[in-house]
Amino acid sequence: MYRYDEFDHRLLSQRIGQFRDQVARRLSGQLDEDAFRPLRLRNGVYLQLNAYMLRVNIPYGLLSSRQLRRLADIAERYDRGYGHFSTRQNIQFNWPRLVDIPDMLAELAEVEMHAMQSSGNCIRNITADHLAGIAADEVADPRPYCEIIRQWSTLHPEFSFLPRKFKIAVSGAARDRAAVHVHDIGIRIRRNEAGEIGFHILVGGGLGRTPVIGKTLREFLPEADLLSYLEAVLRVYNRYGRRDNKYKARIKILVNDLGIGAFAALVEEEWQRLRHSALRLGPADIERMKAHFPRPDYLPPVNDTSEYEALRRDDPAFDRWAENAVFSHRQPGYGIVMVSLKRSGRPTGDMRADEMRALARLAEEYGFGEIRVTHRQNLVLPDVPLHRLPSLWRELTALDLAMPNHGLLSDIIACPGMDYCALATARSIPVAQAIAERFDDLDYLHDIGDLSLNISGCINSCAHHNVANIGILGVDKRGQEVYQITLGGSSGDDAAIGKRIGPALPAEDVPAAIEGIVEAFLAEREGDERFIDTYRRVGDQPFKERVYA
Amino acid sequence: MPEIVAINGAKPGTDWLFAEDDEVVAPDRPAVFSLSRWLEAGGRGDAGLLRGVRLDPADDPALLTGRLDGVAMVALHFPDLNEGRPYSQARFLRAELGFGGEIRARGAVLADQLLFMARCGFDVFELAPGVDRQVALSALSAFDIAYQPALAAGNGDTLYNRLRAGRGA
Repeated sequence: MYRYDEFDHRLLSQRIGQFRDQVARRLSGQLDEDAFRPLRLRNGVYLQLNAYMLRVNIPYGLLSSRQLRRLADIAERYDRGYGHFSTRQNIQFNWPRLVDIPDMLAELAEVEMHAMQSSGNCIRNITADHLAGIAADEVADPRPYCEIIRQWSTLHPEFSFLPRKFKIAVSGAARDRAAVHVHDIGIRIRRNEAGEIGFHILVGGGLGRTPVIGKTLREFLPEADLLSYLEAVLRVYNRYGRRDNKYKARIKILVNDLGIGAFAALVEEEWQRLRHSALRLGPADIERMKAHFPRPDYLPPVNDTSEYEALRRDDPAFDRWAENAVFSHRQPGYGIVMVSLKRSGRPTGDMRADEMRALARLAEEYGFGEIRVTHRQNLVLPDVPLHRLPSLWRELTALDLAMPNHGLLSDIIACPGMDYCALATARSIPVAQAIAERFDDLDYLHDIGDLSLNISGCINSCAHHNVANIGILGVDKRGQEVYQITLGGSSGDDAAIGKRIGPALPAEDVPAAIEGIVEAFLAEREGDERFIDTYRRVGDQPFKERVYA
Repeated sequence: MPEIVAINGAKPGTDWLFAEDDEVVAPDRPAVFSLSRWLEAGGRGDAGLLRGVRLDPADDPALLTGRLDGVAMVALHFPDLNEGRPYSQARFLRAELGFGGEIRARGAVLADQLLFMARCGFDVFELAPGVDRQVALSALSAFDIAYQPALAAGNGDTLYNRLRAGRGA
C-alpha cells in the first residue's frame, strides 16, 4: 500500500497544527461558528444532532491491520467503542469532543491516515473498486492513479472553495464496483488497441434530490493527461457552477444546463492550455506510484483441499458461506472473503473496537495484513488461501462476522438517519432493522437472490436509495416520518435511477410492503431471473398492486 | 482603514479610491475602476496615472487580455468566505496573462484562507474587520510545502517531485 514519505508526513503534520490552532481559536471565541464551519468541515468534522462527528478517509478503501487497530484504539479512547463505515470508504466516529479531535488526527497521522477534505465543498476522498489489484476482471490496478489524484487534490489552493462537494471514483475492472456512474467524475481505466492505458471519463453523475447518471466526457484520455484534464474540469466547474442555490450547485446541474457538448468544449479549451504544463504525467511518475502497490508474495496453491471439500459437502452453513461470501481471486489458490457488517440487531456498517482488533488479527493470520472497505459498508479480507477457508470461517462465525448475505436483501445500506444526523428528516436504522428481522431466513434470502435495498433518511440520499433495486426514502410529512419506495434503481454497469411506485408509507407498514414486493417478484419471476431483470421485464404494476392493495 | 497584509515584496498603496461607476475621479487620484468602466474607457490608463481594476467573482478575467497596460493592481472581491472563483481569477491573471502587478483580496478575507489565496497569486490582503494581523501572518506560514506543482515549475523532473516542489505560487 502507499507508504508516506517525509514530505507526506510533514504536510499532514502541518495540517494538524493548523487545525489545532483553529480549534483553539474557536474554543476561545476568536472564531465564530460561521467562520469555523468551513474549516472544520475540511478536516472531517461535522456538527451532528448530539455531538461532533469525525469522518476519516480510507483512501480507495485500503486499510492495513495496523491502521484498523489504531481505529479501534481511537474508538475506545475518544468515542463510545465503535465506528461506522460509510458508503464512500470512510469511517465515522459519532461522539468525539471537539477539543480532542486534533489529538485524534495526530494519532491517525502516525498510521498514515487523515480526515483532510472528507467533507466540505472540495474534492472528497478518492474511492475505488474494493477488489483493486485482486479482481480477475481487472484491466489495471486503479490505486496508483487514485493516489496520484489524492495528492494533487489535497489542499489544492484553487479548488478548496468549490460551489459544492466533489466526488471522484475510479474503477479499473471490466465490471464497475465503484459506482462510477453516480459520481461527479467517474473514471474507468481502459486499454486501447495498441495496449496503452487510458481513461474513460464520466461527468455529472450524482444522487441527492436530483439523481443523474453520469455522461461520457471523454472516451479515452491518455494516461499522461490524467491530472491536467481533471484540473481543466475542476476549473470549468469552479468558474461556472452555480453558487446561488446549494441544491443546484453540483456539477451535474451545470452539465445539464449547458449540455454535455458545450460543457466538453469548455473543458477542451481549458485543457489545451494546460495539457503540456507541469501536471503532465511521465512513465517514471506512474512507475514510481505503481511500486507502492506490489503483488503480495503469493504461495503456490496447496493441493490438499480435502477439508474444504468435505466441509462444503457436509456442512450446509459452510457451503452457503463459501458460495455467497467467497469470490474468485485472480491468483490461483486464493479467495476473496466478504465480511458482512449487516448483522441482525446491529446498525448497518457499525463495528466495535474488539471486532476491529479481531479482524486485524485475522487479516494477518489469513492474509498479508490487509483489509478493504466496500461502498456497500462491508469489509473484505482480500488474500485468503483456499485451504484455510474452513478455519477462517469458524473464526468469523465466532465473531458474528460470517453472515452470508452479500448482495442479498438483508445486505442493506442505511445512512445514520435521524438517530444521529442533523440533516435527516426520518430514521433509517430502525427501519433497516425491522426489514432485516422480517427477512432473517437465510434460505429465503438465497432463494430471492441478488437484490439491493438501500434506505436514506433524507433527500440527500447518503444511502444511495435511488440506485437500489428497492429504494426507501424517509421524509417528514407534517411532523410524521413516512417512507417513499422506489423500484428499479441500479448502480453498476447498467446504472439506472429508481422510480417511485406510489404514496409514502408509515414506518410500521414498510416491512410488509417489502414483503409484498418480494412476493410479487417471486410470482412474476422466470427461471433464476434477478429482481432487477424481472422488474425491467414486467414494469411496476404487479408490485404496486401488492403494496397498495 | 482596513488592515492590510502584503507578501512577496508587494508595496500596496493605501490611498486607492475604489470608484463607483458614476463617480468623478480627479486625474491624478490613484483609482480602482470596475471592469465594465475600465473596458468602456478603452482598457488602458494614461501614462503616469495609477490605475486599478476590480473584478467581481462572475467577471471574466480574459476580458483584460491586452488591457492591463498601466494597471498597477487588480482587486478581486470575496462576497463571502465560501466564494471560490477569485482563486481561479488570480491564477489566470498570473499564469495566463502574466500580470506582475498587485493582486489584492477584498471582502470576506479571513486569516485561514490567506495561504490558498497566496498560492493562487494574490499578494495583498485587505483583512476583514476583526481579523487579527498576527493571526493572519501566522496563518500564512502554516505550511511550507504543497502537493501542487508551482506555477513556474521546471521541466525534466518527475511529477512526483514537482508535486512536492513547494509553495505553488
